[in-house]
Amino acid sequence: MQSKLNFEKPLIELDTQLQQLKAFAGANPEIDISKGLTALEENAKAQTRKIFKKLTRWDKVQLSRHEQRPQSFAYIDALFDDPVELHGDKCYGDDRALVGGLAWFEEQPIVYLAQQKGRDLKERQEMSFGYTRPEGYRKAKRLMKLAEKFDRPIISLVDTPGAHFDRGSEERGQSVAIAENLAEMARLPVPILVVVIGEGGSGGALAIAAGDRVLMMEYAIYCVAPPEACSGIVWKDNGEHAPEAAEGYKPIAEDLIQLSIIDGIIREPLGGAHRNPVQATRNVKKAIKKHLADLITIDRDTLVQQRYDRYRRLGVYGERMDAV
Amino acid sequence: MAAERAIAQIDQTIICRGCQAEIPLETFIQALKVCSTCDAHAALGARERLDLLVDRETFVENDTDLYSINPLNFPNYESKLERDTKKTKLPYELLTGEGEIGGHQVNLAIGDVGFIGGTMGSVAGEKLTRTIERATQNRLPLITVSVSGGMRMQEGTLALMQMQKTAAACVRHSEAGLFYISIVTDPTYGGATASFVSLGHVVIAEPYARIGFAGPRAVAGIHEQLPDNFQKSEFLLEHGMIDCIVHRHQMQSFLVSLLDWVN
Ligand SMILES: [Zn+2]
Repeated sequence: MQSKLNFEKPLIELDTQLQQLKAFAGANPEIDISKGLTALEENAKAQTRKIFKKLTRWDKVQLSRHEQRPQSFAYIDALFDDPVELHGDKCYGDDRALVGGLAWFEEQPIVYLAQQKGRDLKERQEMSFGYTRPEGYRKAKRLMKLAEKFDRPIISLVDTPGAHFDRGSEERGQSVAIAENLAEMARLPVPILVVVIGEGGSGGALAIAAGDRVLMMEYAIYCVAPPEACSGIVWKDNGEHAPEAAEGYKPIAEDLIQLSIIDGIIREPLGGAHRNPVQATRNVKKAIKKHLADLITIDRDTLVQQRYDRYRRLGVYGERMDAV
Repeated sequence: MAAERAIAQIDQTIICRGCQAEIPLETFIQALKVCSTCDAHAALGARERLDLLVDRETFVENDTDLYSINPLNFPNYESKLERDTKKTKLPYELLTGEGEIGGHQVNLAIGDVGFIGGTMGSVAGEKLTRTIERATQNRLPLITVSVSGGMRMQEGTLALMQMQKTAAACVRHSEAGLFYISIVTDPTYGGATASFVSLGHVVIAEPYARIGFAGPRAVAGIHEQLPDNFQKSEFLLEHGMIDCIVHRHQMQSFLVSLLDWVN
């Protein structure tokens, strides 16, 4: 089943036409249809550009959660050599929504952290649809410490609707687990490079995202809570105002770079990462390569100080000059 | 709470939210808003909390000139800010400054739930961070009294970033060898709990306070049954997430004994 968003429907139709035409060409090699094919392809591209230029923030929220959107599996495959996944928090369990381990990025040994939602129902259940539990954060903390011990940079791929909100997560200290990761990242003397590849949902994302550089894919989001939850809190409803919430609290890459919350936007292939995952992973690889090369030249004290300053500056408020 | 302050007239009574007992307002206030029948701890405004904890006339407030604006142009945010400024008579959601507790000089930050649900935005984040940094600079203990509805939706990802900003300041304070006591009161949720609140060297909760990461509605939505004390201080103590529960009447003397121990 091909899942699609409303604004994608005309594009999917053009795709189907293109495929039919290609199939026809394959079956009838004596007929030259290359002109027609090129025209149709150009038309499809133009249509896509036109539609994507007008996307609302809510549309982009949908794209960030698109069922076919490449998940961290694809990036781990494409970016890293010889990844070795390390399991468990050595305390209670192994959260499948947040994985991590040792790998090579080009010639550089790194530690990777990656959130995943699952690609089919079985995986989604196993990974709790990407909602991370305290065990996931504690595993991440353990891997951060390992990175410190062997002086390896951390590459963190963020994709979660948020931290898990079930009874067990509360019982096992979701708050403490997240808080301790924030504290860990505040002092960790190795480079931390973050890419938000899909949804960066609230503290659940921040718990592995308080890095030196935070990059976002063009159609990723990074928000204080999912738009549905924001709607519930602000409009006191069951999420019906999610599109207004998304418009209001500015969760997309273009918004966040203006607020200096992120350091770069990684462009996605025309139509979104899911339309061309190979190109998407290539773009991410290029961006990581550039930023990692920068970060590893910075001496460790400077790095930690710069990271402190990076978050210290964030916030917008008024200051009365006439106050007593 | 603000509403209770607003009706503070002599011959009035209040109804306890815990047991529905009718309590003369004067008795209630003398008992520091603790119900004499069921021991429920009602909400205190930031000023009331301050009077309860800090030695008389030792408090110097800091950063009174910061106020919330609407950086993202979120619908109706300004009018809510205006409404709650009037309601709490505070222009901000967090009271910060320096004072003495049992003669010990400390830096303090006290939340007020009346201000957009006590949610944390850029102002609270900045004021708290400044307070922690001052404590680090002046080598003083830090005490926070939290009451929070989580991060402020209307300030979006900027609000989320306050978690890291404050957590990082806590780390520096701690690395300087200084003491941080985190007092958690009813209710404290979300990003506050998942950042500075949980980083105290000693985390103290008031009895029966609702404390958690996920909002109670969200949790209730996926579980048919939850324990009666779910996300209450007693539940957190049972699961090893806080250090102790201290009654409001003993809070000040408890703080003094902790401060004596480190100094
Ligand atoms: Zn009562």
